[in-house]
Amino acid sequence: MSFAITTADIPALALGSSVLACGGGGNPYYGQLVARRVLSEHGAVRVIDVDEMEADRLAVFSVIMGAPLVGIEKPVSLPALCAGFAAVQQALGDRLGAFVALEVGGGQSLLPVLLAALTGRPPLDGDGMGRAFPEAQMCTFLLYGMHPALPVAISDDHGLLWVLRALPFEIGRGRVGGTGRLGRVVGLAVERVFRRYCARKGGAIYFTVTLDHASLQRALVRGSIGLALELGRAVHSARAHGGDPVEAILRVSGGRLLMRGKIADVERRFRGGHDWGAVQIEGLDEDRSRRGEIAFKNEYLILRIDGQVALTVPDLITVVETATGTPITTEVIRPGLRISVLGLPSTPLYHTLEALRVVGPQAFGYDVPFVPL
Amino acid sequence: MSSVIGIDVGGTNTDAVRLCGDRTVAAAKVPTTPDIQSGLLTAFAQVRGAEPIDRVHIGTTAFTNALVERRHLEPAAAIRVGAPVSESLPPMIDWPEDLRCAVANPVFFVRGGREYNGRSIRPLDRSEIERVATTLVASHVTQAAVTAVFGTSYPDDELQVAEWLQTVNPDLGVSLSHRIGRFGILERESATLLNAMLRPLAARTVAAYRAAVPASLFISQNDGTVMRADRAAELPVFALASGPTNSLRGAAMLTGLADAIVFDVGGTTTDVGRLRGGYPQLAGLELEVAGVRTNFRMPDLCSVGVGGGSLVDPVTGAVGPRSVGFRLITEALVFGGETLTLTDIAVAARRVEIGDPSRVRHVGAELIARVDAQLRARFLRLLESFEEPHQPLPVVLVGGGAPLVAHLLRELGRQGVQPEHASVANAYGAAIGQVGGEVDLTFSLATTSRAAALARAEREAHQRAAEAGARPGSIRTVELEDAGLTYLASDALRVRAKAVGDLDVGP
Repeated sequence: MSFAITTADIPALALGSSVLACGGGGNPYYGQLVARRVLSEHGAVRVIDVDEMEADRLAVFSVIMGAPLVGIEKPVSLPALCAGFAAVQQALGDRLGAFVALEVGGGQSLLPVLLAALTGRPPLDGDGMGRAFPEAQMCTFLLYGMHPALPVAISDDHGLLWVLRALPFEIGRGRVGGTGRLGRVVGLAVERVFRRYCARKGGAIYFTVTLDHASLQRALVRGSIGLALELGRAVHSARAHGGDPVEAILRVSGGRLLMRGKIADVERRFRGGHDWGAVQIEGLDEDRSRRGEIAFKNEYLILRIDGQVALTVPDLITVVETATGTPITTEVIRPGLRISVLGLPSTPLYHTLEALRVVGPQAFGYDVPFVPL
Repeated sequence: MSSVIGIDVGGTNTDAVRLCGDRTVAAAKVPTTPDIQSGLLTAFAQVRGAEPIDRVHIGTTAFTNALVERRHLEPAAAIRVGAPVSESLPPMIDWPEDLRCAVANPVFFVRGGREYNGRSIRPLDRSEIERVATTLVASHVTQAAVTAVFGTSYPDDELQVAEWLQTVNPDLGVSLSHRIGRFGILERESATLLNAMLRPLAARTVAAYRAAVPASLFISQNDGTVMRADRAAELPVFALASGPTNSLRGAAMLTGLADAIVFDVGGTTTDVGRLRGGYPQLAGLELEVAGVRTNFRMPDLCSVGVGGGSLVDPVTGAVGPRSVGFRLITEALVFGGETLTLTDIAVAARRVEIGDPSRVRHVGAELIARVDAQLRARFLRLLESFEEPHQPLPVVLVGGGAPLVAHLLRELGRQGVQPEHASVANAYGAAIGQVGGEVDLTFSLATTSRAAALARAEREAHQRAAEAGARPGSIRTVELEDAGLTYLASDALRVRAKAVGDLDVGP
């Protein structure tokens, strides 16, 4: 079930991706502008289902490691994206089948669309999170294992930094056995090593990573790009026709309105290169007498209402402006905004015990059980 | 005793007030004239009196109108300092096509700019800058906007580029992004370009004001402060959209309330805003000026289509959003027209006495009750969206349509405060404008402690307020916030600080 993404679809895709990004992924505005420009020059792309990809083909994902703030001074760099891709492409030869996103959210889910427009290969309808998370080990690709002997490249605004033509070992499956354990170790190692490297290199580096068909079959969160597009379109349509954009998001996503209110206070702490903090919400309308609190680490992690846990990671907690349905990221949220807090279901791939150790509330230091929406 | 005149040049009326200390000495409301200046002079003449005037504050729509109408704009060069970084998003990429065509600003990418930690992306190249300057001379471009990557944190590159440009061409007007915007290169660059395009108009406007007004002259900014007229001639972009802010600040001054909800009831809409500590609560989302996205902060306003000219459905009693606007004085029933408006309802209910009441005798109590019931519900929702639960705030009613809705707030259990001179609240807002200074800086926590970073940002904000004309003893910090650079392993810290103070006027 393929579908086209045209220049006119980009604002909807960016908005919908940001709804799924749970407050992370940075400001999608710049990515959207770059994508509109590239698509208007190179034409629309056709997004395909992973089952339409031939089994002997490989997929490539590009992801930017860095801070949203750096991203609004140094926007998505096409030279960086292309340098990384060219290096991987050289190693792959003609085995490239498609592009895929590591996460939906911010500009990240627009990267495969950009590469697709520039090279003529299709992007896949899916990603490795179904949302955004702050760290590499939290993606399903690492949790469920990646094939060895596939190239990885790292680049930045100035060009290629280095390329690894093949991973030295298989991650996760096979040799080590249990799903995810080694993937988690590798992910944590990537975070340790490359967060610092990234900071030294000016705060934004681009990873270009290859995935084989079997990894995608195991770990792809399917349909997330289509869902983001549909969400964005529903919000735009509600705005245009005097409908309720929040209602539109809930209808399309199967999510739930958890609280409606107004931001009373935002407290931030800076620790280990991440924004940690809490958002205090005073209820409005039907929630008039209730008080909410959302803890965040770059993304919104856990919602308490009147002291009771209402929803946690890995389910999606997203905050949108009530009047417009515009998603509000953790970087810009502040007192006075009138918001709705929504809960959206996460991928079942995150619901195994092994996965929850990496993406559940305990992984972020909250000693509460995960109760799916 | 210091004496100040505040003038608001609006779309319909030009309002003026003269204050002596906190005492109102005179107020005037005259129609705005097509040339702006003659209406301004009339209003000024009506309030000036015999005593000397210390200063005059003017809130103007001249610059906003120039942008909206795409008139009186000067082409300006967009110089992006940061090659090879950031070229994926060229200047003006998100501008409306007609504005881009109207000015045809040339674009240059030059080497330079910084990383977030201050390291140079590429060293500046003097010969490259000089070539740009020469090109501009040859193509008769007289304004330039210089925007460097991370220029707000590290302004040195922009300052150096300006110096080299002006060495080649001393007459070139140069607008620097770090003096205008905050983080977000595109919005900051757009604001800087708008500024450059408005500068020749600003210089002419300010010169005309000066010729007309024999006093120390200040211009309202969109954050409730004023700037000296000579600064406004250089930074007109800060004067864009100052109207709503002046109306909220005026309401604060007229009532003495620092925390309140303000209903500004006009002809077409009611704009509702919230005062916190005497200043408007600011909106969260990005502001567009004439279709261009900038990153200014604007008052958080809810507008509903309820005003004196709003059409009323004679059957259902539904009000607005359509309005007869400035044609109220010919189209409303009480003025001999054929359209049932909210003003007619108010006359029928004997809340106001204007026009010919006999023309609304057929408007029954039942229709009045229907209109009231639905307006009450809408106003209640507005109040709730601005108030904390169980902590009702005072409500201030300003604007020409205030008497039409005052009873609704009483019925909602609120004492709607309607100050004297409420209809010229904007001019009061202009009169009481303070001066402010703002900084937005990034620090490395490897070399600076958080406390030291906050202190330095605060100090610089105070210094900027003083440079803007604030009396040193009166400066206070109104905003001081920090946010980590999300996702980075390094300990970078971003701090934003703002300070305001009273104007330092003569003894």
